[in-house]
Amino acid sequence: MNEIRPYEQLIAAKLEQVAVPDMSDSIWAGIEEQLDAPPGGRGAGDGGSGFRVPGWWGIVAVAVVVGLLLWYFGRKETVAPPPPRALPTQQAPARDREDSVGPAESGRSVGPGRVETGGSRNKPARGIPAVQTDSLLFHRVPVDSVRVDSPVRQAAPPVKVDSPALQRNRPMLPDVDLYSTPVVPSPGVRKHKGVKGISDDDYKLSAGKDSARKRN
Amino acid sequence: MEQDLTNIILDCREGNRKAQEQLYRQLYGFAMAIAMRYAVDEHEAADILGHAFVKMFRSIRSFDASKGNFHGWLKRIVINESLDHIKQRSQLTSFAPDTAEEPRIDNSIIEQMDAAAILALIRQLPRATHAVFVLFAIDGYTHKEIAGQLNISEGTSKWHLSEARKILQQKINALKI
Repeated sequence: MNEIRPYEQLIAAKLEQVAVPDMSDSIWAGIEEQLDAPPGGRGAGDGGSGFRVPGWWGIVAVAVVVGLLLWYFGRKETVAPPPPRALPTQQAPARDREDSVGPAESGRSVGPGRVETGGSRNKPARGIPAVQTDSLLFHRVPVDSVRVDSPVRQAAPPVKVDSPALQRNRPMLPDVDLYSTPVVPSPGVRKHKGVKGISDDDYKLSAGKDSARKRN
Repeated sequence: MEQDLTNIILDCREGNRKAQEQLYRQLYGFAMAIAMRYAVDEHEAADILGHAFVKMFRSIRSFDASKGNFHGWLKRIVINESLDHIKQRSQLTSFAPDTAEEPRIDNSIIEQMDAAAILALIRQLPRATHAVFVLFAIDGYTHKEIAGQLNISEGTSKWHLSEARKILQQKINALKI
């Protein structure tokens, strides 16, 4: 077992005569490429792990992090604010221009009869002090966590506040109830029971009066 | 010639690209013949050779002429690269050495065969068996050295040699018929 057989010596001698293929140029091109690459780097045909792989992973990781941050802050902006400006409006059947201020955040002008809820947020709507408390509470808590006992919560169906359509259309909405007013008005969806001290009739009258006033 | 080779090696140590190419072209036939014995085809041989030369150029400063000639050093690099390829591509299982009587092969049949046919015959052996046969019968490694190179036991190396001889006998006898 430890000796080389005569036929094996013959085989060895024959193998010395094997003609080598003429691949010298292509092999040299590969060698040059690998020699030009930094040691430890991934050259052509090199099966080892190279430094480029972590580099690509780093870029991908940074892109993912940036994407997540953009998504997070974008979401936060859309969720944050304050739709409650409609609340006082509902309870104020009669308003004059002094109470109607354009929304400071959006810089857009509001329609007639709309009550500002930004700078003059703490100002009670005329004649309806009870509503003011609810409005303040509403401003302090996220939209989705309005107190269960809040009349707004009870009255308003769930609204997607981060909907761009809703935000875009907000100033154009009638003064009835911003929460209960979807982008496409559908009377069947509304289940307004009103805010404390305000009956269903007030809602209806409010919307109707404004419309009527405009037309006249 | 030897002086030329020494000068080229010195230039290669400085990273001279032209000297590297010169050395490569001078040793291409020698190194390719070694790689061809271990590879299953010429493309794998080319792959082995490319990696072996890159390793050689990167470690050429460590070549010590007092310990051996340059051809022997390069041959070791090519064989090591070949065995690395084989280890990556095949699982080397342990076997108990075979005590069966060794097959006899008629020399005259081998003499009548050309080199390419013999190489093709050897390439038909299983990967590890092929490597052990070439290491032992062609390149003169001992079973102990083979065991060290392939991370197997000496017994496994002997088993592979015995297996190679059996398979070769069957194939050569088949050719005779």
